[in-house]
Amino acid sequence: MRTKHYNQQLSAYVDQELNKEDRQVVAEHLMNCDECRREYHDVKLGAGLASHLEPTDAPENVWHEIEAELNGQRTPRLEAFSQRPWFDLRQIGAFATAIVVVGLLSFLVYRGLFTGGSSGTAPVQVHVNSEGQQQSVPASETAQEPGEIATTTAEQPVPADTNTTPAAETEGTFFPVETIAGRPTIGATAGGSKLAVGEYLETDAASRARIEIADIGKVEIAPNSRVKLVGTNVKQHRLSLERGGLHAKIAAPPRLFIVDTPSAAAVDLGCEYTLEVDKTGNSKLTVTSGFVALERGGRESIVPAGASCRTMKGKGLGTPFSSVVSPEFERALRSFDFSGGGSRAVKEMVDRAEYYDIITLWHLLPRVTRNDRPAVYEALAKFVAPPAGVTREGVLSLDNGMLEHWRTSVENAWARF
Amino acid sequence: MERLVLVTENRSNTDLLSECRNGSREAMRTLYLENQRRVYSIALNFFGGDSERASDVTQQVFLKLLKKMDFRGESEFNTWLYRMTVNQCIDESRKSKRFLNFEDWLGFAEPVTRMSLTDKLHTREISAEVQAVVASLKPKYRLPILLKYVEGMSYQEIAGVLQCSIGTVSSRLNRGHKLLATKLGHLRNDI
Repeated sequence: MRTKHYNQQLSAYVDQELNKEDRQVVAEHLMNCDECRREYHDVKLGAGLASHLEPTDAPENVWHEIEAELNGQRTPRLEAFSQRPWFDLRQIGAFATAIVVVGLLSFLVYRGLFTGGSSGTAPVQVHVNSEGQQQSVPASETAQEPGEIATTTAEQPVPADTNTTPAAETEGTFFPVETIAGRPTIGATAGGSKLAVGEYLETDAASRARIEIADIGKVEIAPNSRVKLVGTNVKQHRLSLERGGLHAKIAAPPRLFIVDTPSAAAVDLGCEYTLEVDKTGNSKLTVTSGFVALERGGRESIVPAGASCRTMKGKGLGTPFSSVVSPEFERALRSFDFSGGGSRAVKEMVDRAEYYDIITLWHLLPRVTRNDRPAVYEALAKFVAPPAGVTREGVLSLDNGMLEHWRTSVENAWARF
Repeated sequence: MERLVLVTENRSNTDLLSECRNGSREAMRTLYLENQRRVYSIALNFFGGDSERASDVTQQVFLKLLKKMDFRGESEFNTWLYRMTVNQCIDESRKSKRFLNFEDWLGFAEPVTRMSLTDKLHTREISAEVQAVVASLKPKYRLPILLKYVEGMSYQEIAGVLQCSIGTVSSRLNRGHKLLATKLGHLRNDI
């Protein structure tokens, strides 16, 4: 069946021009359509950029000139307007520059043609490809100096047999690494194929690598990243992402795969996700399938597919939020989580909450003050009714059983989006 | 200060226009002060921050309003004023194309792209960069963006000014937003 897309309504959605019903239809579609969600992020960025445009007052002299014109006097501006010269000084300067540039280019072309420059006599480098065959490559395509004839080894893909690791070594000592691009380094070695416990894998701006996590999944390491294999055994496989990003796709029982970051630990609950750590150690987790728990200091945020969560070094764990959250709601959430936004931020979120903010609202219940909790309760109950046995009083007094029971309903509602 | 005093008199644009028709210079000045920001802001952003051309447009629009008395009351005053501004911007833009502009021809007229990264982090510079890129869009994408984000108009009001359907406004804004995202994607983390 052909899927109906809503990409023509994204601008109206971002600008809050749709009615409540249409807004819900688009939001629901965005939860399930990668294509429209990508466009939504572009439209949202464009709207955010456009909101930097500012109104400005006209200069004082504009009225004086209008008034002079009303009095029947010819104003300097209108004189200038009617007698605008064909060239101003800047244009003349630009034209002169153009003539110089064209002249210079002509001279260089002339020299290239008549003095045996690079055209027609390009030096050749001999490369050996991955199959051992020699190839001639123009020097301009390599980093070698012109005129030099060199024999180098072409970038080698990781040979298939290096991934066939001895059975004895797969238990608890290293993970196989495959180079995707560039030359990732392991320890002091560039292009290594095994990441041992305690070793670091680093990628530069042009490098990417894939780590095979035992037999439970794969982790792709983004450029400019530094990852350590903390430990691996039958009960737990653990990496540490110190900076950069990774994309993990894991099929395993919950809590078997964990990634530490400077500000929290991402505990896999059977999922696919992206984790980014910036230079200051702050992180952002975005889950695309299943669930991930972010944990720190006894606090936990369960992040489902379609949601993200931030952590800030020294300030702790943030609250999960929908990937289609409004900028205003997200700003208030960041203020609440990391800048002491308190009741004001809570009020802002409650006022602006949409049904796709239910994950955030549920997580806020135990995190807000006793005074702010009723408003959060009401906002969440508006979208997901508390199931039988869950009472307002129980939730407001943070009855753990009731909160967990309601969470199941919230997660079910989330999964239906 | 003078403007504050005038605003407190709380006369509607219709009242002021009626006084203008009777030749009241004070009413003309009040009407100008009340509305100059709208006209000048649209024109300034339309021309990528060129205050000379924005001043030209502002002057022309108000001369049509105050001297020629072009407003006949066939539409809302605000709609008429925005429509006049938009048309004047387009006319001014066409006129300037008759003059050879070697800077544009050579691609030299892009000062904002030469800003350092540190400068770009500053909101003012981000605004200048956004302004320059908006000014480079085709008018059909540029104008809805200006009316929406400089003037805060609804899609319905924009449709009234541009004399098109709300769906057209929506789809042009959609396209305009995506063009901005493409051209200014490097500012993603700065806003």
